[in-house]
Amino acid sequence: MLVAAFLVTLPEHEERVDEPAFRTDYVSGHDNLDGRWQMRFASDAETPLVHAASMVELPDGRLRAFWFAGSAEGAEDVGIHSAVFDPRRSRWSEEERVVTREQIRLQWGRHVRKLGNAVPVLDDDGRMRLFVVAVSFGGWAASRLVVMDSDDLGATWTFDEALTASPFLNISTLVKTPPIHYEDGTVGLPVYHEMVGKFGEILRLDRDNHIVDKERIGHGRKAIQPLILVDGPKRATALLRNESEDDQGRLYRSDTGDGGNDWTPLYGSKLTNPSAAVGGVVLSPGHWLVVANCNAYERDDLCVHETFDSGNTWTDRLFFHNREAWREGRVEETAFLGMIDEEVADTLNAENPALLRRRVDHNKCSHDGCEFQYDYPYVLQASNGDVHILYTWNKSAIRHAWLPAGDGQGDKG
Amino acid sequence: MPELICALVLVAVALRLGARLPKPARAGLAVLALVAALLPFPYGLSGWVLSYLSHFSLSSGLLALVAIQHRLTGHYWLPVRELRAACLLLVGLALWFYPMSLGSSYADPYALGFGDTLFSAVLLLVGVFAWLNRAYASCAVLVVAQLAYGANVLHSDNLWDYLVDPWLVFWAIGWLVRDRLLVRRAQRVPAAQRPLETPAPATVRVAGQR
Repeated sequence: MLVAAFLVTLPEHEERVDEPAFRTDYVSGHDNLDGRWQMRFASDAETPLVHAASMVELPDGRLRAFWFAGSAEGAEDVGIHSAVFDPRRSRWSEEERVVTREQIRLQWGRHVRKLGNAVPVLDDDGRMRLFVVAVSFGGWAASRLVVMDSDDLGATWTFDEALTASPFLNISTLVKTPPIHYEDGTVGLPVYHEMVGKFGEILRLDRDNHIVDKERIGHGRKAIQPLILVDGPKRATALLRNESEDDQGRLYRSDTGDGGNDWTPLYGSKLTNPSAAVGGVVLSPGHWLVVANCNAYERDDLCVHETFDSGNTWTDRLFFHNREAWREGRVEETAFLGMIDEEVADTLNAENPALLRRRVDHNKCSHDGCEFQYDYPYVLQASNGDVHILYTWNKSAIRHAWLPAGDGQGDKG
Repeated sequence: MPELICALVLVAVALRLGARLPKPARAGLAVLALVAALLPFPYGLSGWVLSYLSHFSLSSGLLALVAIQHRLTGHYWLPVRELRAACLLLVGLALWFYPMSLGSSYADPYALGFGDTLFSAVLLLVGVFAWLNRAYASCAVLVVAQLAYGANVLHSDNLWDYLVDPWLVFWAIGWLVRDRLLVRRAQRVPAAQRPLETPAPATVRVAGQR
């Protein structure tokens, strides 16, 4: 019996786990950023609060975005909302609530107190998976990950299972950043923990959502929300949000040269950041685009960093927002809302500016003034070379920045 | 299956709380606790308990089964020496395993549970060692936990989740503390006052056994 038990526990595909190789997803021939960005809102201001957008490209070239939305962060009415962007019509569909707390609660058979970040993966066979942060008790540090399945490209969802990723009550596992792919068809889901330790990991999942491997990026209480930039089958870099108490102001970085089996100890990247989430994409080997808050203090700016040498040197390509001039002290409400009106006016197809203004006033103003907030960017390069960025705009809307590619068609690299 | 294991633990706890009840009442209590635990969510206790605690390991389930059998029949067959050794091993293991798995270092022992030949080989050696030392119960727990892992009965892909859980560790700490107190109490009683036919308590009595 002992031998039988031993045989049962032997890993099925040990060589696959021991020698992983990334699938590179950059689009060859489309790393020119000299076009004109278009700004839109993906959300409709249906709910007072929205946050943490993510997206996936559909087989027909459209985009489906997800974010969490409700009356307040952590409120019981928070659900996962979604909308579809059609680049041919240059329009977003109506916002829909696609996953609710009650739905997960009933299908899982466990109490769910609140929902948070959601990250999608589209499999080659058209099935979509959505990894959703669900909390049964306490705050975000008690998060668990549940997997939802969709057979209609994200319109409707059913609960599949909860991932067990931590030995202590299976709590404190969250997602934020885009998944990566391995050449054997497994998916690498960047996750992070923020209870006892604050560190990143990659969960490697097969198509049945079985965890076949887990690799740690950092340890202790230093860094969360790893953004993985895959430069080649064996090479990748992780940029992490800095949560260290004594070394603030820069993003952390870790590298791998063996397909993610081993990651270097965390070290400071050359990117300034105020402990906020980052998004990014690899346009070609060594040529990366990283979207982040680009000062060490506040989330009141949002810029695009670009590197051509795998992060050794960076340039600030452009700013979507820069409210540095208003950083000292809170902004007087009338002046603040005037600037918000200007940002809405600069946004294409903005449907209900008055409602948006009320939402921002509610979320970002108090009796002693207002403050700007642009954060949680999520970046994707579509298979035609278009670059899409989603981010939370003043906690009140999901804003979409779109850089259409030139006429040439790209190929997945 | 996680609900059934949780139900066994809840029944064991209920029987511990009702230890002074007469035997038929204890049997009734066990059935009541089992039914209350296994009702579907949101009516049953298991769904709520697992919402907070995630899962109990197979080891906890088997231990609960032994405790239930003891409370219902009055017969306890688990050797105290083996239980003491297992508890010490478990607490020592937990002191190493949980801090590292929760991020105190780059090394992550929990990751081994997702499939590692060396880890499986170590478990085989531990099992053989237990067998050679006639620790058959420990051996059986290892075998059952590993077979359950193969069948994915806990919906976890990690072998550690089948072997240990924090509540088992807390129980082991409590058992060791109580065992120590019983030993010390026994040592304070002069040997002359003990009935001649009664063996030393530390060698035959189990903490919690009445």
